[in-house]
Amino acid sequence: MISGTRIIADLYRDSVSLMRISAITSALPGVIEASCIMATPANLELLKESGLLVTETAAKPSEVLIIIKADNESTLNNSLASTEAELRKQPKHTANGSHYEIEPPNSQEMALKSLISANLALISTPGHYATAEAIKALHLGLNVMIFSDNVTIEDEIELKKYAKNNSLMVLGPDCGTAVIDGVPLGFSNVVRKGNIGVIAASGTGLQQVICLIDSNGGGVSQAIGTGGRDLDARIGGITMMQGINALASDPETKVIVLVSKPPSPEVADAVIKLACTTGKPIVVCLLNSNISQSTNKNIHHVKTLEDAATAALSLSRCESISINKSSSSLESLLTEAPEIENNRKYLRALYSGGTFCYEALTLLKKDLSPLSSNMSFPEIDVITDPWESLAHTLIDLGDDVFTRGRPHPMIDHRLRNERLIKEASDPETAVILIDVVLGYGAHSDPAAAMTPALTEARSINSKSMPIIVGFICGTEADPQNIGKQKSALIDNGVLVASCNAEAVRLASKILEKLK
Amino acid sequence: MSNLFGSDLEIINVGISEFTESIIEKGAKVLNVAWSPPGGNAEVARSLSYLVNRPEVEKANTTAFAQYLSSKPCLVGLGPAKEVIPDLPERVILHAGPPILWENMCEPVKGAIIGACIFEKWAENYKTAEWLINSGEISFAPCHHYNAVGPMAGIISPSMPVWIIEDSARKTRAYSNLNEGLGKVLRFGANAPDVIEHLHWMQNVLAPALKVTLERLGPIELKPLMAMALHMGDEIHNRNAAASALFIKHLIPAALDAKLDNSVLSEIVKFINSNDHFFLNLSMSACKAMMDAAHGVPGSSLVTAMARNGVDFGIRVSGLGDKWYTSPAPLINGLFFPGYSAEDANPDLGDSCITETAGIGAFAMAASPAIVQFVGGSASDAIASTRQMEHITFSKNDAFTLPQLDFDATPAGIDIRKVIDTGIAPIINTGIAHREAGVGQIGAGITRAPIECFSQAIIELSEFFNMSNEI
Amino acid sequence: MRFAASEISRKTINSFTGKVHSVFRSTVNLMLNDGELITLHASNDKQQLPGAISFSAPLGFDFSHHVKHGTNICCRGGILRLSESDLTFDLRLAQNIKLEKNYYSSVNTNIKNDESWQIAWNFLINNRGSAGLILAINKIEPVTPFDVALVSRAQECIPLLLSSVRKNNIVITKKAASRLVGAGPGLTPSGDDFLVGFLTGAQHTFQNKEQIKCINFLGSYLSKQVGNSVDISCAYLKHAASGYTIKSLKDLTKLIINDTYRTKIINSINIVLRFGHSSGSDTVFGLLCGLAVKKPLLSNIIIDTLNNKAAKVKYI
Repeated sequence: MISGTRIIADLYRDSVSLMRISAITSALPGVIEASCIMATPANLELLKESGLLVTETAAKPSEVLIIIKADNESTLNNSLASTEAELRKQPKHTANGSHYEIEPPNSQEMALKSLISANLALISTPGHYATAEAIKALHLGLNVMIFSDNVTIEDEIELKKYAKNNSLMVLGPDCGTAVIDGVPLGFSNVVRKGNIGVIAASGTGLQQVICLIDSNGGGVSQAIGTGGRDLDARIGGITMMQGINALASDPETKVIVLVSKPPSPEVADAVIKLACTTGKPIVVCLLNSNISQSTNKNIHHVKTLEDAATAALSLSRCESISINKSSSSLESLLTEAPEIENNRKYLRALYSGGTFCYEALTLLKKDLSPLSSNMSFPEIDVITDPWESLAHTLIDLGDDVFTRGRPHPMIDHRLRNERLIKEASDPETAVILIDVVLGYGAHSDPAAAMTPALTEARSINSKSMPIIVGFICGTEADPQNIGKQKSALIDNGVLVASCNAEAVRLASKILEKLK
Repeated sequence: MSNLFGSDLEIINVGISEFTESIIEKGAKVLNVAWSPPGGNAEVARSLSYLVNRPEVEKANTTAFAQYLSSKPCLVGLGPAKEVIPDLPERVILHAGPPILWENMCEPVKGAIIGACIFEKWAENYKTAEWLINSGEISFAPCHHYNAVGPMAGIISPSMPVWIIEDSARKTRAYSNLNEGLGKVLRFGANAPDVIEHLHWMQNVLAPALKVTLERLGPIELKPLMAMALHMGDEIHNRNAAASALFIKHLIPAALDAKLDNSVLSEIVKFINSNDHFFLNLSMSACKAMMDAAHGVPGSSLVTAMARNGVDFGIRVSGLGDKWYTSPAPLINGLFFPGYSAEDANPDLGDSCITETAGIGAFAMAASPAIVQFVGGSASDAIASTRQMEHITFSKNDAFTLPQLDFDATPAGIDIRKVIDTGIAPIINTGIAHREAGVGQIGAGITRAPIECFSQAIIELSEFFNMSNEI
Repeated sequence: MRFAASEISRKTINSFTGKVHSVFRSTVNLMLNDGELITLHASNDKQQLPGAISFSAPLGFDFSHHVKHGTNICCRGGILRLSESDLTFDLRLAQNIKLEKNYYSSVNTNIKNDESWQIAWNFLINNRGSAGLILAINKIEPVTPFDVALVSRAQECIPLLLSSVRKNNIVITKKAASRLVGAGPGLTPSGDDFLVGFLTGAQHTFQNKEQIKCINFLGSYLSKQVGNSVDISCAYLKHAASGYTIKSLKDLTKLIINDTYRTKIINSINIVLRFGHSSGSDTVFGLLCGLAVKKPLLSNIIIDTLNNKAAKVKYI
């Protein structure tokens, strides 16, 4: 006489089947007693009391225990095997769904049949179709990231109202960048995962902050793009506030950073008020706003994207915030700046990222005059002809006037290269400022794309040339190899600052020296 | 709280396919939609978006589909159209497809109408028939407007015998003419004396004999017969051999029992036997009954009729009343009989795609791999066609199962939203008529319903929900 | 195939994810990521299962042809999809039914007529079930040593439970119940089925706050048995503790309390016996015990039946 058991996990057969199979096994020749029973503690006790179970077993309550008492070992093993096989027998399975993978989906609803637990639709169709796709996504229960621009504000209002009422989020429209659960979406950088959450109403603003966090050893929990108009009075910051609530209850997020151009006062108030309720330290960067420091000790207002990153890092490390302008790196860059003629006096900034242009205007509006831009900015003249610089000029090359019918300057450098040479040819240009944005979606080798133009710019007049200042917005893990990019730029005579704010300060100091 | 954070991010990408790179690199799940503008324009795309997964539409569709499923079409008898079709005007000729004026009709339909006038003895010949028509004495209407369907030209005139199909679940009726057989026949526009003589034989010999036989037999439930035919290689639109054989199996004992005159019996058996498509008209009217059951549910986006008159292709939608949404009838891609080519072909013609509307025909092509010998393609294409239709239908009809798909049920209930969203148009198996009247069938092939019909319907359905700017 | 849910007896939510937990012909249990168990029930018989989503399915519908254990499921925008199958369920169209809780719902505080209870009891002890706690009272002899041990446990615990609940003795109630949880054959062990029925019966007959304390305690204890029994069974115990049981059991309970019509009672018992996977007889056994707690006459009948059987059983 010999007893043995077998444990079957993850198998749910109904009671009738269990009993039927027990009966079949019991009737086998050589089998004295058999049972298929759920291995609850009570049943194990009963089995012991009845003398069927003699050893301990690791079986768990939701597992089936086969227990057999047989004449000899071979009968035991055979009957255990046959009982297991009987239990595992599946009825014929019509695999209806397997063919769905073969045909690529033509619609979101069709895609949901294969990817049933999808939770985000990433929409980058032409603008006049983007709203329709977003409506479908929301109806289907998906969150939406709208990369497309050219979506009307009326549409944005309806989309966000609907989303809010249905516990869904709309990131965008015109949201170029996000990093959700560590996944880079759109034009985005590869950043370390960590405890700082960033919510930004600006694509490149978001990129700058997360890149600086990453390059200074910190990490990002979530990077949420809200779209450029989210904080407009008519929208009221719906997405930013959803983001704040989400990050407030996210155990991974310790510090929250908010980035935007200045919203209407009511919206700013509402956002700050909500931020105060989170109980977590919040860094608020409203570019070009005159907002005074908050009485709430958790709210920290900063003036630049660089400061936002610095503050967030300090808070995430429970250190006190010290926003120093890191003057040593600035000084060393200054010393590298070559001498240039005195009649050169103007700054020409050629930005691919609109927010960088905006930030530069914020920093320079008091220092430089006359100052103009193709961007609308309070108290700064809008330049009459965006193709012709005048005195100090900061250009956003991502503006419609330049991108109509052409890819964005982050992808296609031709327009900026031409403009660079043009500015270099102007004998009054003292400093040219450029941004180099890395990450998914950007050009695969920006430095290489710019080299011919940089070379030409320096060879126009070997005796006299403007200083070229630049910075790279990117991370070590980005596909473009940030180290190589930096070296290539330096080889081309570019003074590479650590971020936009530093590049702007450098340019400003150079111009000052010339006076 | 949104489900965006804290669980695995799974993405559906719509637009720039390169965006999937960064996601795949990170190891997250992403599926790229092969996107193209729905309906080809922004207005249609926008109207569609209001309707996708909208609860009111889903509810209406659920109701409409349940009504379709519960429909029980039974053959209960036959008789002259003027006697059995309610409210049929005196001098009317019914035709296939959406409404069309005489001057715009294609040649096969005109030829058939002339033939009908002669058959009815309203005119003696072509000339007088034409004169009669031009004088406005004769009115025309789609078969569908009188709950009827007809294949190819689909001509039904008041004296012609029609099958009576009764939906025993709802006590409503549908009708179709009797199939004349193959060759030069009225439905292809032939109107020579022998055609007319054959029509008289059908009216005076065949129909009465069948009527007596059916009275003996009692009502025949058509769905079980059709289900069996699907298990025997028919798709019951272009391939009806098994269904026709099963039908005659039913008829013969009753015909013998009815003690018909021997020569009559011999004639009718010979006639039915010689025509493998005899069951087609019954299949069509059964499908018409099923789709009528689904029609008229406010807010429903299900297609309840598809039909062509040789010039226009039209659809009707359950929630949009009796309006036809039309677009030029497409030419058919297919295999031509020797001596004929695409230049000879008439655009798509006939009410027979009511079968596809009801989930059989090309929708059940998987049941009939042999059809590819007539319409082109390979046997695996037949299966792929059925599978593709699953993407544009509401659900499946478990009354019709397909052995080649492990007895999976046939996709049914074309949803105009899904057609526009996916860009997949309903597929139709069909015969090809010669563009000249009276020549006959010159081939067979596969065609698709024009997307434009569905675009028009989508815009009106979204208006039905009175959209302002509310999502 | 697309189905519209007809009844939902839980708060409607538009979005959840999980896996198929167990598959039966007309029922599928889904284990959600947040630990909750829902039952998808293909039926026209409006059982009002707690935690269930019901829908009407065609004749011959068999879930095991479409899904298996571990299949992923997800609900988005109100549409529940089962991976690798073409089954979809529109949950938004369902009537959200508010389940009737057991206690505080009956107008009657006590069984009007012992006769109806007797009818049910006699029918039960003639039940030919050959497995489970029913063996402790019916005319079938337990054959295997396991069954003998189970019957012995029933004879020990059920009388204890009857008296301890009547006397509001929480300690003994807990002890007796703990010996029954997870005990016996079946996917939902017999002891659990018995306790579900017992709770249902007791909840219907206790009306004042003092008396209900013990029942509430028992319910609370039984809600926390994860680890001591099969997970599905624990879910049902939890539902029963909250006062939610299947409609057919509730109907039977009301009949016994209010009615004496014999045929009706027997038909009602048969409906319960048919439901589920042979859990029925143990559930009815428990129900009758729960209903008898406040009636010494009926409790004695139960105890006598148990003891008479004991006298005949040889204890190994």
